Amino acid sequence: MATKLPLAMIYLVDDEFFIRDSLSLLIASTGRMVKSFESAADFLDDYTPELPGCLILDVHMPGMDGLELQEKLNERNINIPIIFISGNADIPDSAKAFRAGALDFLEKPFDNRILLERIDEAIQKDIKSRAQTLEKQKIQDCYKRLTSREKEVLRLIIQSHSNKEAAEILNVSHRTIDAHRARVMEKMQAENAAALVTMVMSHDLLNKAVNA
Amino acid sequence: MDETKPDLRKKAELLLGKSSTQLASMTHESIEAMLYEFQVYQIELELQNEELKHAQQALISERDRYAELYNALPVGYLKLDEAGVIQAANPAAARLLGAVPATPATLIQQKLGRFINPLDQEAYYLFIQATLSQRCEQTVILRMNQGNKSPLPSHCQGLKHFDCAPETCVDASNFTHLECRSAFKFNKNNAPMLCVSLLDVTDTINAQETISCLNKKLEQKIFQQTHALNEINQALVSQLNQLEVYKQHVQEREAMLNAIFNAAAEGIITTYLSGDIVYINDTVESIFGYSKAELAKTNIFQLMPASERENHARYLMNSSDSAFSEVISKVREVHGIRKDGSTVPLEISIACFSIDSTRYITSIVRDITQRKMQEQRDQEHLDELAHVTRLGLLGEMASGIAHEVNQPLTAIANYSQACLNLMQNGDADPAQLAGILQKTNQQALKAGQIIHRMRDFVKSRKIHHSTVEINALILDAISLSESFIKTNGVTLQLQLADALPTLCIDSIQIEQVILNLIKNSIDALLNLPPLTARRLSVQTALNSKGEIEIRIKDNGQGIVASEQHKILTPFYTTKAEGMGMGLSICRSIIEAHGGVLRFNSQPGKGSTFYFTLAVQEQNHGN
Ligand SMILES: Nc1ncnc2c1ncn2[C@@H]1O[C@H](COP(=O)(O)OP(=O)(O)OP(=O)(O)O)[C@@H](O)[C@H]1O
Ligand SMILES: [Mg+2]
Repeated sequence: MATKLPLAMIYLVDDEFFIRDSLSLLIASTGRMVKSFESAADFLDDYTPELPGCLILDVHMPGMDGLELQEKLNERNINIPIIFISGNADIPDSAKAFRAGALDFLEKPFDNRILLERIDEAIQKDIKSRAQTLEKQKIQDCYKRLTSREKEVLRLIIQSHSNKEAAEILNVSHRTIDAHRARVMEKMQAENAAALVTMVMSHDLLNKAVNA
Repeated sequence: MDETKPDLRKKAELLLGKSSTQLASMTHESIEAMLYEFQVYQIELELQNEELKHAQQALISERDRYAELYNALPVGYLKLDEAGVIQAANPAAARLLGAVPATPATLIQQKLGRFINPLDQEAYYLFIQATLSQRCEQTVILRMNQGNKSPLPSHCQGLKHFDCAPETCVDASNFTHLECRSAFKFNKNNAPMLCVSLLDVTDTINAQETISCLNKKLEQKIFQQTHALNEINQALVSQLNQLEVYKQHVQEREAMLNAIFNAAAEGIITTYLSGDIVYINDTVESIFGYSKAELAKTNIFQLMPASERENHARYLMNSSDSAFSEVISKVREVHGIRKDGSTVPLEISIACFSIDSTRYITSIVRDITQRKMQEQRDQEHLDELAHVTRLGLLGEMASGIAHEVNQPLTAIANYSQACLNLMQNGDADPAQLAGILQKTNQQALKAGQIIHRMRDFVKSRKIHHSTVEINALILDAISLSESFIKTNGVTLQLQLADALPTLCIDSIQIEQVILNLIKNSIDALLNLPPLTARRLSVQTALNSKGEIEIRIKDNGQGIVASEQHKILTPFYTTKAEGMGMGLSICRSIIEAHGGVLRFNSQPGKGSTFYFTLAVQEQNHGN
C-alpha cells in the first residue's frame, strides 16, 4: 500500500499535544509524510508549497484559530486542501469552513479510516489542481502570444460565428480570417475548434482577456 | 312745783265758795260738829301738808336728780311737734346732734331733719310718720350730718388687721349714728307730739361695721380660701381622674402585656438563680408539654438535655455575675427536653434582673422546629435548584466538555490504529509500541476522569461538606471548563496562593460557583470585538480576616453602573439564551457557606467577581 503512494506532505496543526502526537504516529504508520505544528502561526512560518499535500487543521486554538488560518491561506492564494478536525462540531463553524473551500470537517473522535481516505482524496485533489494550475498557466502563456487581431478572431470563433460572418464583422476578407484562424489554432496548440473552445471556456480566458 | 300752788288755792277757794251758801241753814250743833270736823280736817290737812312738804321736798330732790340725769345723761331727749320741730332738748341731744353751740337752746325750734344726713332723710321721714300714725314706739338708727364734727381719720379696724384695699373697706366712722326711739304723746294743748331719745350707737355701729367688715373680709378670705380649696380640690379631682385613667392604662397595659405574655410565640420562663421556676407563660406549656402546675415545681435544668445542663449552669454563673437587668445573652440555639422525652430545637435568650435584692433570670425560648424544618427545606430547595442549574450550566458547557472528552478519545483511537498499522506493516518495534500503548492508557484514564467529574457534578445529592483544598477544587473546575475556555479563544491565568488552609465546604457546589463565574466571564469576553485579547484569571488568596478569597477576573465588556445592582437578582439576564439564575444561585450557595459574593465591574474594562469562604476550625463541621 505504501508503495503506490504519491509523494506528498501532510501538515497537521493542533494545539493539543496528544492529538498531534497520536495523529502523527497514525499517519506515519501508513507510510505517509507528516509534519505537525502547535499553532497556526508556526505553520505559516514553515510552509513551503513544493510538495503536494493537505492540511489537517484543528478549529479551536488559542491565538489564530483554524478558520482564521484558512482565511489567511486563501488571501495568500495557497490552495492546499484543508480537512478540519474539531472537538465540538459547531454547525456555523463547519459551514464557514466549507464555504471557504474546506475539503471536510471531521468531528473528534473520528474514524481513522475516513481521515485517511480524506487525506488521500485531498492529496489527489491537490495533485490534480496543481496539474490544472500548470495547464492553465500554459494556456495563458499561449494566449498571451496571440496578437490583438487574433484574440478578436478567437472570440468570434468561441461565439460560434462562421468564418464568413467573422469576416463581415471584422470587415476583412474571408481569406484573412482563415489565415488568422489557422494561426490561433497553432499558437494555442489546439487540435480542433472544439478543443479550442473547451480550453478557452474552462480557463475563462475571454473574460480575463476582456478585463485585461 | 311752785307754779302748782296757786292752782290748788284756787281750787280750794272754789270749793269754799260753794259751801258758804249752805252755812246759814245749818244748826249750831251741826255747826259745832262741822267745826270740829273742820278742826280735825285742819289738823289732818296740816299733817298732810307737812307730809306734802316732805313729799315736795323729796320730789324736788328727785326732780333735780332727774334733771341732773336728764342733762347729764349720754342719752339725748327731744320733744318734737308734729312737724318735727324741736320743742325741748337736753344737752346730750345738743351734743349728739352736733348743735353749735352745743346747748339745748340751739336746738329749740330747729327741725330735727336738719341734723339728719341726706342719706337717711327718707328713713327719718318714715320714722316720724310711723310714730305719728301708729302712735306707738318706733326705733331707727340714723346717720347725722357732720355738723362741727371733724371727719375722723378714715380707716377701719379691718384695714389694720387685714390690710385690705381701702376701696373695699366700708368706713362707717365718718358718721355719727344715733339710735332714735320715738314715743307718741299729746302735749298740754292736746296736740300730738313726739318724744325722741337719741342714743349714740356710732361705736356700736362702727363695731358692727368693723365686724361686718371683718366678716366680709373673713368671708372674702373664706371665699378665697374656698376658692383655693376648690381649685385644689378640682386639681385633686382631676389628678384622681388622671390617676384613674393611668390606673386604667396600667391595667390595660398589664392586661395587654399579660395577653402578649401568654400569647407570645416565645416561652417565657422566670427562675431563681437556682433554676427553680417562678413564673411561666402559656407558651411554655405547649413547648414542653408540661402543665403550668407541673412546671411550677420544676427546675429549668430539667427542661434541658443532660449534655447542655452543665454548659448552661456555667453560662448562668458567668452572666449573672456581670450584668444587671440587661439582656445578658445573645440568642443561642439549644435543645429542650419535652415531657415525653423528645428534644425540641430552641432559640434562647436570657435576661437577668433583681427585685428586692433577689436575683431572677428570665429565659425567653422559641420553638424553632418550624424554622429548622424551613431551613432544611430551603437547603433542599437550594440543593435542588443548584442541581438544576448545574445541569443547565453543564448543558451550556456541554460542547466544551464533550471536547474535553473527545480529545483523549481521539488520541486513543489514533494511537491504537497507529499500533495496528505498525504491527500490520511488520515493522513494529515493541518498545515503540509499548510507548504508544502507555500513552493510550493515559488518555483513557483522562477521559474517564473527566466523565467521572462530570457525573459528580451533575449527580443530584444532598449537600455534603468535606475537607477540601480550594486550589485543587479550582483546578478540577477548570478541567471541566478548559476546552470551553480554549474554544472561545480565552487565555486563562491562574494565580493560586500557596499553603492555604483547607476548607470544609460542599465541593460540588463551590465548583459550580466557580464554573458559573467562569462561564459568565467567558460570555462577557465573547462580546469583545474579534482579535481582542481575551483574558480570564482565577486567583486564590488569604485575606486579612483569615478568610479565603477567590477571584474570577475578566477583561470583558463589564457591567454598566446602572445595571450593577440587578445582576445578583434571579432572572436578570442580558443574554438571549441566559436564564439569569447563575449569579443568584452562586450567591445562595456562597451565603449558605457563610461567605459573601461581591463584584466590581468597569464597563469596557472588565469585571471581577470574588467571594469569601471562612476557614473553619478543624474540629468543627459535620
Ligand atoms: N463577568 C461578567 N461580565 C459582564 N457581565 C456579567 C458578568 N457576569 C454576569 N454579568 C451580567 O449579569 C447577568 C446575570 O448573570 P447570571 O449568571 O445571573 O445570568 P446569565 O449568565 O445571564 O444566565 P444563566 O447564568 O442563568 O445562564 C448577565 O446576563 C450579565 O449581563
Ligand atoms: Mg451566568
